[in-house]
Amino acid sequence: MNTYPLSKLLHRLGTEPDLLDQFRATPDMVLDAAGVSAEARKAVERGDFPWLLDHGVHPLLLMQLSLALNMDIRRAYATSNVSRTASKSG
Amino acid sequence: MGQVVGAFGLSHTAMMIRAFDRADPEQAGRVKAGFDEVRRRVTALRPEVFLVVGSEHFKTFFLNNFPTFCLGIADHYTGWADAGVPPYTAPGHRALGRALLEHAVERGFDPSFSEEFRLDHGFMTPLHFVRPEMDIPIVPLFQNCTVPPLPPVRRCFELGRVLREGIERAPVGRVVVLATGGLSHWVGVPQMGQVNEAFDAHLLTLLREGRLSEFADLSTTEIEREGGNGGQEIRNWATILGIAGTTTADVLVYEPVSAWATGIALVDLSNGLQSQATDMAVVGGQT
Repeated sequence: MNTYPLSKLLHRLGTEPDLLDQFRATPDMVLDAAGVSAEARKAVERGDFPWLLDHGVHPLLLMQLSLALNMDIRRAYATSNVSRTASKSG
Repeated sequence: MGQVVGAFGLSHTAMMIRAFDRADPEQAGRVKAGFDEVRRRVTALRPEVFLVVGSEHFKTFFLNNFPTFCLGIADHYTGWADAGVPPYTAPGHRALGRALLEHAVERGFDPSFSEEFRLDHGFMTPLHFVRPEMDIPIVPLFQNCTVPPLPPVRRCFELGRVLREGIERAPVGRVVVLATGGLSHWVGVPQMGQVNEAFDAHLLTLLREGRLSEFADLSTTEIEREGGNGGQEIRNWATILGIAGTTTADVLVYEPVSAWATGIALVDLSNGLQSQATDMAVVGGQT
């Protein structure tokens, strides 16, 4: 799984304010244009930071994603762990 | 010829400016007082140039072409105004940047160099607190502290030694070197928010006792395990230890600020430089 297109997009979101506005308004369009793979895109849509980290997206770029999504990354990790634990125990 | 008159290791966080009030007020107050003291000491040293050794956060450098070391050789440096840092532009000291580049290459290091080196909060945060007037020219040195393979800490320390030679041959006056980053912190990973006070205390003990070679021998693996991915920024400190040559640190502040997710240290590493300057003055007086 090559997550470089997503990484490149996250870098651009951190340096191009207009693109960040566009991403927040129409994320599908921006993800399409960036050539992000279907799996990575699903992980972005559900805010699955552990999956993205496991698949090579750099932590500093995940910080950028959390800003773009207006998500608290610490909370997102904690929630993911809870849901993972719940799904494992279920 | 140039003279290194001061060296300071200064932690930064994105939240130190953007979310200053989120920290415990007493802790935040001590950090602010520490920066005020650094500012007072730096001003008293009458620097003509700052050499700022730091890393950054995928603003200027990206994976399409990522340097291990990169020296700024520009006339000015515009900030990204990220993380709540005001939109600064700092003047550059092109002559020192070029002199350090040429000397480093001559001595077996191969830094990249840049005429368009914008500075994110990693570089701008210490300048914001220490010299917000932005009236002292700077030379920024980027070091890869984020994307493996990282240069060994020892390599950064050795680069510092070479830069010291370069400064002393360069057409500049009084130089203060600033390292930015560290100590322990975890960024963008599940452990974010942790601070390893024991590891930070170990680092500060090495510095207080002048055990610089032991500091330089810290491994990337140990730092990652004990100090987190953000702790890798202490190789910026190693570089200025190489520049300082010898020092016993004066730790002005250490605060494990969990709200800023970072072990914050502000450390004056200048005392060896002052004794070296005294030695030079004595020698000069005898000749």
